[in-house]
Amino acid sequence: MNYKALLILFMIIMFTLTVSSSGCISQSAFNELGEDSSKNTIKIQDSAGRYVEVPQPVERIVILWDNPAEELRSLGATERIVGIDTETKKKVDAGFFPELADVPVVGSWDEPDYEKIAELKPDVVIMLSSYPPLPDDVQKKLEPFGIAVVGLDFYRVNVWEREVRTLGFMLDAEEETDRYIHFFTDEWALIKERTKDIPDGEMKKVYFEGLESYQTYGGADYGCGIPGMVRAAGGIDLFPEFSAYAFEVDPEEVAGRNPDVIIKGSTQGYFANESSKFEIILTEITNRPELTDTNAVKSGNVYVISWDAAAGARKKFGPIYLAKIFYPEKFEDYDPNLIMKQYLEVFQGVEYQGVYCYPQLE
Amino acid sequence: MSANSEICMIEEYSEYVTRKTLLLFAGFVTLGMLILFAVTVGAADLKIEEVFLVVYSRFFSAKVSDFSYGVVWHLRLPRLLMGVFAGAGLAAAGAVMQGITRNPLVSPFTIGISSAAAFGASLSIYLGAGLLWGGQVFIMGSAFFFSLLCASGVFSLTRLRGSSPETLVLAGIAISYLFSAMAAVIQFFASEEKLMAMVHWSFGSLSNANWDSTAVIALSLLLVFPLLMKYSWDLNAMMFVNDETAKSLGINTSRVRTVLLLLSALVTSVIISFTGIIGFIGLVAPHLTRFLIGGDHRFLLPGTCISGSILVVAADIAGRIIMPPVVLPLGVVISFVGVPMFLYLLISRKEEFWK
Repeated sequence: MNYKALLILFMIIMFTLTVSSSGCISQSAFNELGEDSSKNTIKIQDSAGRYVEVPQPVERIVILWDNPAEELRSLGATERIVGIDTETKKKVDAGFFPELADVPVVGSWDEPDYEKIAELKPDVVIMLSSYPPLPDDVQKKLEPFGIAVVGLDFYRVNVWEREVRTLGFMLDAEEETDRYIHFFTDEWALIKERTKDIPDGEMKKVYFEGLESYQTYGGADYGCGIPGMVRAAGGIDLFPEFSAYAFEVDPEEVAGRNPDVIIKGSTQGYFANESSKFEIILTEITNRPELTDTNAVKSGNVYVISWDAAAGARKKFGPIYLAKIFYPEKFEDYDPNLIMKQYLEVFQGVEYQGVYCYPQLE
Repeated sequence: MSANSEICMIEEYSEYVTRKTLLLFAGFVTLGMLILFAVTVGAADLKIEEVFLVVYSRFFSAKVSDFSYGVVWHLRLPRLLMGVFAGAGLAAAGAVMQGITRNPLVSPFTIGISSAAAFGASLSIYLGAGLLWGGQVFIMGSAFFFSLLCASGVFSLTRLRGSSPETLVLAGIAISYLFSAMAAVIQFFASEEKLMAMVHWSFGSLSNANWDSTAVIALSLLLVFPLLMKYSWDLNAMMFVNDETAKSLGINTSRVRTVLLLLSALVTSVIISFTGIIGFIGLVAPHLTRFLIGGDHRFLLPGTCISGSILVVAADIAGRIIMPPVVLPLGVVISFVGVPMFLYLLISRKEEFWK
């Protein structure tokens, strides 16, 4: 029957086309865009453990999420950003990165637009190291265009220094890098010095709650975890035996473990001009009947902390505020808000504003 | 029967076949034009002539910039062709599943393959594949392995209890829930990165397309499709009558059901291992095609491949041009593109479409 013969012929044609085109293309070497051999290249290791060759200094950078923007600004390199993602764009629109207003958006952290990135001809793409799509996947997509892909997170406090040094090395900005790193490492060293001798029995037990009621955090190992932050400030998290990153916990269990300090996170922060929203959150916690008998509520050690001081790129501020909250007697002369002010004005070049902790620390 | 009425019948039948074949051809041409349009769509500012010149340059020599070549052959075409083959495969699998279960609500995922694949992917991600070692290959392999495991589980159940349509659907639902629950447990213990990877995998997406994976999907489809066509007459019979009558017509219903089940599961597993779970195509494309071309599986199966491809490619284009450079998730856009089409046909058609 003619129909059958046509169908078979069609199949054979499609089969041949598929095999021939795919086999050839996947093996064919794409001519990489003429690499500027006059540019110096260096080999760096990113946070995904990958060794990447990048030009030095990098002049054109595409960032696939907002942390790198902040770090690049601290190193005085925002003019090198030629492409940003949707998260960074939100901050631009909110007024936090006015200098990036004309920079084009290249997609989101989870769905980058590779054509747009290729069109901008960046030297390097800086992205998250362990959220999909992974740097290797993005590298595969950008292979024919000769663009380096580097995974740097800037939210893991235990590797922050290494990441900033890597970034500074790529930018060829050693002096600025040193100054910036010391700004924080000096603070952390001070905190460690003053809290290292606290005996185990006297360490404050801390219940740290997320945005949802009774959502708390485990997984101290990763260094990005809240427990890591609490311990860096000399405290001990209430559920150290849990490794799940974020989980819902039984209210009675919290009450039973009798925390000395209760901290709750809030999205309010830089753009908050008064603290009424913080007060509402605070009152809600202190009114919870199951928590009224805890040390924290009885002694008034319940605080609401802004994610602008304890999350993402600001995780490095966490211990600075927490140390003062946990041990006010050891940090009487310490003013976290002043440190935040210096950071915002000196390194970020923006005005100091916002509410970062409620009740305000003396 | 008089000679006249015989000739009439033959003529009518030829007319019927010609009409359907022309419809298929028209569908194919539409798909072709859509592909030509799709290859010119993208964030990079390439003129239409340049795009076609780049395509031409692959087979004959022509001067094109490396950038244009990279964009068209490395970024756009693999994604486009993966969409074509994935849409075709899922739609064909859906039509076959609906045929063997005589149930219009069935899709290739009814027997639990999607939950099993998601579980396989979650398990391998939890064990470190992709983030710590191995890369995507292990994730895909694990997804594929578990979806086949699920299919053989359903198959064994049907052997035990008889392969009636009801058994298939019930077994599929039960196994689907089991795998979903197991995946949920793994996700509970996963770190945030791994959890994101698991969720990200389950969203259907063509973003991971490359030539190798497209070739694998295309090959599996090209191998399975002729086999499906071989059973098209049997499917026609099984749709209209119950099993006993079908058996009396000489059809080995349980064998047909089993073979088609496994073929459908195979092609679906291959596709979703690469693309994640693209729902809705397998359910709706066969119905759309039935409205346009009727329920004769000799034409329905190729037709549904074409309509599945058209749906996926159209949805992908839409997802990329609605809010550039943000790419809307494929599954979401497919629903927005497919449902109105489907409702329009449902309301405007006068005759019963299902049987």
